[in-house]
Amino acid sequence: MADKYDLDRFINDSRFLEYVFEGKHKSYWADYLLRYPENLADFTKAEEWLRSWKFKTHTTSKEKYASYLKKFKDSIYIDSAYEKQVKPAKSADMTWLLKIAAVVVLAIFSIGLVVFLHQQQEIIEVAQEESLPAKVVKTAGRKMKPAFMLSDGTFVRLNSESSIEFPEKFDSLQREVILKGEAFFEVAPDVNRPFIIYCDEMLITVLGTSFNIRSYADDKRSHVAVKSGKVLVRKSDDQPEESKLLEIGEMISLYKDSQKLVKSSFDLEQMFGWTEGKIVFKDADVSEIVKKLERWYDVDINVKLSQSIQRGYSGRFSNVALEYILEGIGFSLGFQYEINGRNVKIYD
Amino acid sequence: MSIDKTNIDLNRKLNLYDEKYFEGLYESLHPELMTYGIKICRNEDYVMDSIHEVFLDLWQHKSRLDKIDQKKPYIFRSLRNHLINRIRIQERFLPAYDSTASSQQDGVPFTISQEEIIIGNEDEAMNAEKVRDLLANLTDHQREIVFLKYYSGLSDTQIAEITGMKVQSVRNHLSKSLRKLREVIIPVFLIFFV
Repeated sequence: MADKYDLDRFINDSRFLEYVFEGKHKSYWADYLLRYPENLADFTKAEEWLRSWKFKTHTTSKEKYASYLKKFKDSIYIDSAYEKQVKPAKSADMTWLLKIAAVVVLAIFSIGLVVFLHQQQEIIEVAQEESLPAKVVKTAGRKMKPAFMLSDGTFVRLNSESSIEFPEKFDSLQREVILKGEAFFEVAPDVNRPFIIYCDEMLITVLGTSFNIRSYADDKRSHVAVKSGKVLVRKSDDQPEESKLLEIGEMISLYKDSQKLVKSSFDLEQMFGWTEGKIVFKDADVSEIVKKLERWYDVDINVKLSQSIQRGYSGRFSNVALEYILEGIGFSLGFQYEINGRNVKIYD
Repeated sequence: MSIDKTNIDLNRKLNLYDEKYFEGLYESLHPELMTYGIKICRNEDYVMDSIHEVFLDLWQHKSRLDKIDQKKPYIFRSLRNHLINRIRIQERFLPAYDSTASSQQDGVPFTISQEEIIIGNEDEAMNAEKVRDLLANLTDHQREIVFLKYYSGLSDTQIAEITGMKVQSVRNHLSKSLRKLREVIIPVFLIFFV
């Protein structure tokens, strides 16, 4: 019969304890037992002994837990909306200092970058002041994905062939912008001034959150996808009460032929990948691939396939040359390609 | 400066740590933190308040979260520090634990009651009492380490991070504790398993 000192060998072995409590080293101990089957009894006893008792989870009454959870949720949701008010005065002072410092650093950085980019002759001026001095229109051509901040601190990244119109400075009542195409927004929280986006046929109201809107005139549907916070969406001709509330991880699509708003979930990378320079395809057909690549690389793609390819393509690319992508997709879907400057030909 | 001059690629990190993330974190860790905290401080409201404050603090400094590799040990340690500070401020909340069991001055009081132990054998009440007695013979540090190991399955490194000890002393404490625990449990165990 095994005595306690035989068990000690295992109990003193940290690899054994890690096996029992953390589930590690399983293959090590399997090997060990294969090699020394005579130790199996001790091994089993040591393990059973260690597992023979455990600690109970403390139970809090449901009501009490619910009230604490509510208190916590209220704190953080209110906090993110009224950022400054919840924090104690002292740290608020510090935050302001930090914010000012950040703005100064940002300003220096942006001037430096703009100067640098101008020297490089790589930037194309996208903003043009209109006759009304207060309005600014930014347009991103193909290949471009400019990112910038609006006067309230809202971060915007425009996708290619998109434009946005906004006042140089927002007024004190509300923040309104007009979008054509696709853009990613991270709206600065401000409960007193809702942020409203008008696009083709939708009207999107937010307080502070990040989300993606896609509303290209030549797409069959437009959509709004929410990455954080909450967003209200309605069709332009709907009453405000008819707005649909979108929460994190949800998207809503407006089908242009039926004029119906449909809620669904979405793939985070596919939706937001472009903001980080990733091209993501998910079960994409040739026309979708072509449209995306034309915008991204500023090329014209001429498709000459004897019969259409039914299969969808899924894959992702991060900052790579067009040849590389065409090679990959072509291999997968079975087509050839030819690049001639800005003209690309796809054929069997 | 007109707006077009701010046309820069900020390459901003998208916000991973939003309200929903914190809500989920709170809900998933609460039972475990409560079970741990109540052993340091025998006042439920008090531990609940501390957990609330720990999470609020985490939320308000969420920009730091990126730098923390392991959030669980970090949150455990925060709760522990919170409770220690509060106990120091308000002595009246000190639990009435067996003063003979703890001779060290720097440790956190860490008490475990009989009801907090589950025994896998039949004669539960008796064995739970035995385990409790054995645990009572350990130091606060040892009890805490045994608890974190048994209950939360944390690694020695993580336990060291929570308790502020060296990894090696966590290991030493643990094997010493298990040897002590075995002294009385072994006979019981032999009856049932041999």
